[in-house]
Amino acid sequence: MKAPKWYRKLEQWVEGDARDLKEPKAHDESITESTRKIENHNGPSLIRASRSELISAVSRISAVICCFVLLVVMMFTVAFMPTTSTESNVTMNETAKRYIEQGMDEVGATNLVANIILVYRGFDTYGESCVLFLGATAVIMLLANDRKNETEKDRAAQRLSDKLDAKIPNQVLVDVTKVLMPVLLLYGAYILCNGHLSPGGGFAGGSLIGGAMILCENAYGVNKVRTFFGHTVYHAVKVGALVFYAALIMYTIFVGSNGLENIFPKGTPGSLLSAGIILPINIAVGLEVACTMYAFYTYFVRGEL
Amino acid sequence: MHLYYENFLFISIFLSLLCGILTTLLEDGRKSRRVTLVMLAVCAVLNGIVFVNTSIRGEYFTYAMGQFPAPWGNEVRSGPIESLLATVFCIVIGMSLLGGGRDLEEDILPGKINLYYIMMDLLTASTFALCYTNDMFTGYVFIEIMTIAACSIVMAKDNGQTIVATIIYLIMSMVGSGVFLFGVAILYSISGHLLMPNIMASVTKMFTAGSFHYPMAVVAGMVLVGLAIKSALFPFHTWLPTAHGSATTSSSAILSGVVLKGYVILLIKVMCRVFTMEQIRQLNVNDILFVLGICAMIYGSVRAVRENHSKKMIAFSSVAQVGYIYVGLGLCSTAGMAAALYQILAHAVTKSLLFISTGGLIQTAGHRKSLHDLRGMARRRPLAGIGFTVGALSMVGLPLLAGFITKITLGQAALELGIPRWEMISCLTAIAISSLLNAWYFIQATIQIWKSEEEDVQDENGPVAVHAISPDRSFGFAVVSLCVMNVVLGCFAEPLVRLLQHSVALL
Repeated sequence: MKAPKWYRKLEQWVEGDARDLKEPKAHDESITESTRKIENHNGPSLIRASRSELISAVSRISAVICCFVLLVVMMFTVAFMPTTSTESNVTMNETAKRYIEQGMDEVGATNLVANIILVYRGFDTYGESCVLFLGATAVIMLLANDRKNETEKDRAAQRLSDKLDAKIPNQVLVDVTKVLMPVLLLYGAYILCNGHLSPGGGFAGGSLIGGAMILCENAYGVNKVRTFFGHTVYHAVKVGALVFYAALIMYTIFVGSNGLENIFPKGTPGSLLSAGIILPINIAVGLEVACTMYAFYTYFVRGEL
Repeated sequence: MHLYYENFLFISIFLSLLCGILTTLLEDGRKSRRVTLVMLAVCAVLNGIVFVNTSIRGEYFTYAMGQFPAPWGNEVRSGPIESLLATVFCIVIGMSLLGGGRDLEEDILPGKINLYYIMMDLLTASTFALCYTNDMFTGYVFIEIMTIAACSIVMAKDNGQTIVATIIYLIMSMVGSGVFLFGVAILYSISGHLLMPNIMASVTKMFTAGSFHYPMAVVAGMVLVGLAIKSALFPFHTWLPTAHGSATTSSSAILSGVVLKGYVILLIKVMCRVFTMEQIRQLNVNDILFVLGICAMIYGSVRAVRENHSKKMIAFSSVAQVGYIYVGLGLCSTAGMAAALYQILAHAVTKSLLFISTGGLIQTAGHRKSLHDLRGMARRRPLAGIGFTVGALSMVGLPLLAGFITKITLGQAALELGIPRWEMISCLTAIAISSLLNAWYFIQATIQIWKSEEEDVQDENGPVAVHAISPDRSFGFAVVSLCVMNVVLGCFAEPLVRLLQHSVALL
């Protein structure tokens, strides 16, 4: 089977090397003996081309139709949905009731959302943190520099641009960063540590800290950031945070499911040191999110930490 | 206090997650490979113990994943079927990694190989979680993990073809996840629960009251379409041949053998635990599954006949085999469900065997992948040839092999419908046509690979340069054990099928 033209163009664009469309490599897998024979005669390949155009037009139109049908179905469904925020709504059941009425006493955090996502449904949230970890790993897998996606020329260009950045610093950016950096880090840390008392928590605070680090990287150059956040620190923090989080969750699951006593004190709701495992989990999630944010940025920009 | 083995569910999920996270610290590919294989072996034993215990007791158990019991917290649940599937998937993943080890070394750069094993660990964790979950949203979270991990293992080979395949796969998967999530959201707002038994209670209430009939149909349709896209049911299969055909050997084997099935298992749970089979029949969802399954069986086989690229041929055969699973589900009876579950096991074992032995043959042919170039390669590497032959014959449906039992149980399930309805006739006809087509291309391919090499002279490109392959013990081990599993599944199917039929009630 010969791949359609758009497909080969896309492939060529992705691969980035100037491979001639007409002359495939000797052991190109998609081009087989029979199609090579067909290509020698002009006729069949022309027919094939017009047919594939027709197919792509049909599929484009049918995609649009599918989207519209989905739209209509969804709009129609909305008309049948129960009214929200009324007493009789089905979501106002014993589950929500317990979260709201007993959450603070049972778990200890005044932020009920933190109770739900980190303790009641802690396993799901651990899964979500693993999604972040997995996302970062996938980005590293795709974008980390290696001999397949980086040439000597790319490296030289990168070195040159780094040198220029170091020589002519962007004064506005540097000054703004000087003012913003401490505020951002402090605010991020506050959101992290206060996640069980007020809206916020690990995901929000972590993205602020990650954003602060990206700002720092832009203002002072990657070498400055590397002095405190290099490859080793990144891995240590990321793995440490996730393993610590996993240990806490595993402990709660084991203890909770087997009816043993949980040793984490709940404290007085409302004070900083309260709500058992929520505070440490928020810090771990925050570190993980900050690492992931920074890693996304830096791997997209230069392919290394 | 739980029984000792009930803790194994969460231990195996977290063990594989933790192995994945800690593998980040190992820069060395060999070490991470060992860690992953040991983890898989341990998990297989743990899940095996759960299987033995649950099947002896003939009952299921639930396990709260957190301090608070469900519906406030998360929950996992296992009966014989779930733990059996988890065990077999674990073994299949392990064997695929063993069998494709050499290709992995060649295809993936040494600096990135440990990342591949991270993906594998998390993929294993998500497989367990999808097998054991009792909560729709936990299901969604682990669908996400499985999607990212599966896309990454396609991408790992890192050439133009695999990246394009990954892009297509990723887009299709995201559409699937999105549609599934819409379905779950609507289901939550009309039933007020995420835990499967509780949803079932309120769904049953709604059915008897006759309210929310339209949103219910939309939910069933969306969940079904979302999971069907991800498990490559017929009109949504377009991503499969490119992804499975271009990835490295182990990835193809795992994608076909395990990843597709993970989503099917969630669908089975939705059919049995969120709705009941009776309600599914009322909503006519099973007819859609059935018709699409029939189309997949025939379309996949026809495309496989026309395919000249060896791995794509096997990938199209996967499309057809997924059709068998959906036909079983579409029959919407205990026997049909048992046939579908048996097919999940049989296909996991057979397709991974086919992919890794084809990988072996392709290596011998110097990385040429068209069937034409594989001519005579089985003589150079007999073990790979035997593996391919056993797998191919199983797909064709030779008695004593796993594929035969699938076809016969599916046929029996169709006959059980009693009065000759259109389902029965079309199911039997489709099995017959699909088997014939399977025989056509698989036996042709088998003959090709065993041909003697003197016939190569007429080849216009000159004889294929044959690469000397040093003996690869892990490949041999993987092929032999998958062959043995195949034969065991085929020869001693009677008790297994009976167990599955009894346990469907426990789903």
